[in-house]
Amino acid sequence: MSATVADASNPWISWSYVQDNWSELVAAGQEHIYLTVGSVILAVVVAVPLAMVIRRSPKLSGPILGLSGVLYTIPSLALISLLWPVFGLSPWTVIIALAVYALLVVLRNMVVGLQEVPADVLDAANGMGLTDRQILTRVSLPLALPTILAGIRIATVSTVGMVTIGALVGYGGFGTLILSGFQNNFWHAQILTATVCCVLLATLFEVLLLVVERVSVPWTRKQVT
Amino acid sequence: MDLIAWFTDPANWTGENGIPVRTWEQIQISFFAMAIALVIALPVALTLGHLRKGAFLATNVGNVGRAVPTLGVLTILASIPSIGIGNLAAVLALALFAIPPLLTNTYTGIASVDDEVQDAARGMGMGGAGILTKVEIPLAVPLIAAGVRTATVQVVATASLAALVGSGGLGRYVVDGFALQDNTLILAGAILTALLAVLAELVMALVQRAVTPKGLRLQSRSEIEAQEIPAAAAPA
Amino acid sequence: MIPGRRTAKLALLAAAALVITGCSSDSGDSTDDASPGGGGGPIVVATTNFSETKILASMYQQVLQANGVEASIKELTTREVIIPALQTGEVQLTPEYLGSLTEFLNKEANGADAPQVATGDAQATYTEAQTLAEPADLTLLEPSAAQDQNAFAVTQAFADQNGLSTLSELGTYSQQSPITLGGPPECPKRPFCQPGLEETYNVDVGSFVPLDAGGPLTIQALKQDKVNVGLVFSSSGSVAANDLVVLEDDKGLQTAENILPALYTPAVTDTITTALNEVSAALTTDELQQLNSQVEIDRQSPQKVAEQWLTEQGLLS
Repeated sequence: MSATVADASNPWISWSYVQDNWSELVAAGQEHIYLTVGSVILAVVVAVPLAMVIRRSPKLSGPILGLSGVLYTIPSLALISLLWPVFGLSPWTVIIALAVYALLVVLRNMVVGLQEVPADVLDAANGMGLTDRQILTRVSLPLALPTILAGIRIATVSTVGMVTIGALVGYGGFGTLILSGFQNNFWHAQILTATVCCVLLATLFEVLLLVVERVSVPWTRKQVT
Repeated sequence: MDLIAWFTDPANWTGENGIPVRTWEQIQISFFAMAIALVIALPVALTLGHLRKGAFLATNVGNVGRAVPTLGVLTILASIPSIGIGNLAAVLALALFAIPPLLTNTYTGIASVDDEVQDAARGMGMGGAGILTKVEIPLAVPLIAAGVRTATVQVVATASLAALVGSGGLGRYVVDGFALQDNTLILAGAILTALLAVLAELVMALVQRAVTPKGLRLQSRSEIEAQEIPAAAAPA
Repeated sequence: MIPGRRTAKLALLAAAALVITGCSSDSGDSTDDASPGGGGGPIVVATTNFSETKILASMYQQVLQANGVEASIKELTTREVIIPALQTGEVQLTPEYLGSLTEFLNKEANGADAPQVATGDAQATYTEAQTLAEPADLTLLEPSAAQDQNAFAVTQAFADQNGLSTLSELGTYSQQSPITLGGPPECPKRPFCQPGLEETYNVDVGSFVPLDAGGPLTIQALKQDKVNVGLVFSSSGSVAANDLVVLEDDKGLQTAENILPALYTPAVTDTITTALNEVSAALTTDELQQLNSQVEIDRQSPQKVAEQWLTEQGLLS
């Protein structure tokens, strides 16, 4: 067995690790939350005007979604390290990179959500004399909300996982602990604890956002996963 | 520009750190990872979907998978002495990464075939396996194929992470480039991986078209994609 | 408008504003705003992410603090990044290695093809180094007896199987069976790494695997037989602990790599000089190896390990 000398004392689960390193874990968690929330919010902020543009000119949906799709294929490892010379060792490098990935999911769900509003409902609204803006805010958005919120939820949970890659530039939340644990003679306790924390955080966001979904659309029974 | 110089330098096209070798390594790692994932996920999902059992599990494993950081799984596997650093850890980690979305999408595809269709087939005298293979799978092909395509592309892109645990592949350019502070190398690695991922997407789109029964080819792509659950994390 | 939705939207915008301002005021790690220190100003100690330099940097930082000089640590990446930052005063101090630093300054001043001036003679190399450092706005203090040279290790089994104990013997062996070499990504370009092996010892390197700088990846790769020969560091604790054997540098490829503090000249004061020289005088290779073991194998933090050692040496009072 190719074990290093200290494997005898390299347990995967170690309560003393958690106790001794509690402050580092908490700091990593705070950073992880900052980065996740920042990225998703940035993605939403960019997606809204794009979705409005597509709503006005549906033909643009292909190119715009296509472009985000292409950006999606760039490995986050590479995108983060490419933004590094531009933004330096700062959280923005990670936030902007991850927002690019979140954008695809959020935007796609916004577009599809709005597209799925039944045509006859829109006709009825038109017939009632509602302006376009009123149709958007009073009719389309509420009906599209489940899909949109689902998109935000999916993007958020995915982003939690991707934040770990930010470890490459020193802003990876729990990922920084995972990578440094690995480089520190394969420190099992740190790697596993940080990974588990990451999963817990993702689950927390998932649950929280599910609650937000249910609270904001009480009239729908159907859940879009 | 430095990048053009890098791509036109013949030294970068030869040898063990050359583009062909690294690209082939990335393809190999992705291929084996997808193979393992398919072998595990498809039978389970097809069976559960057909039997209409395990809905909660099957639809939520995609969500759970999305919550697990690939970097964590990769380093955990590479830290296990019997697996060790290198390509094996990468293949296994990527397989684990691909299984949840494959499972969920395949299950959803099969399970969403109308119960009435199942009844009709039974009425015609078909047995369980027959219903599955002759009726449900063909109907579910668009969603299943879309799931396989997405998973494949994301595995190809995420395989770049493997370089962090001593593996080969195009990620080497990114990881080594970062260690050497060589932005040209990083950029080259990023571009090559993106190109490979796009290539994988095109190939898989053709495969998807080929296996989709003619009658179902009319469903719009965005309709399919809105139903499908994206893989665990975006390309890492 | 449904009240719930409007509130939700406002909350979202408020949260966005909070996060974005939070993020921009998050200055990240240690001191971003250390002014280019004139003598007497706060000292920023730069370190790479190599654990040994982290221990040394922590030693410098703690001993300076104990002597009334405000000091903090900034983690950067490689010499190529740190030395320029040192020369502009962006950072003021860094632990360095005599031979490698001398050659770096040599190439910086005289071009990439400049003949090598560093040798195995520490005193002579130090003289050369000082000549190169002065016009570069750098002050190099007394070198310590402690050294950390590049070394090449194989597994005990490999050494026994092929009767290898020196690098010359490796060269001969490799003529029959080219070896696989593992090391940091820059190894193929570093004169004391792969090119040195090839030119000085005639080693036939069949293939190079990029790993890390003598860290756990390299050690694992050696043990898993992914590489035959791996770059390690002579002061590392991991070699003996993992049944590895260092092949002797019988032709003296490696230069003297004594550890010494490199400073931004305008930041130098007598207090700093005295304090750092005391550290250098007290440090030996054996002790450095022990400290490295505590960090590399026992996973203790560089800061604690440095603190312990400084206390034992009576340098923190």
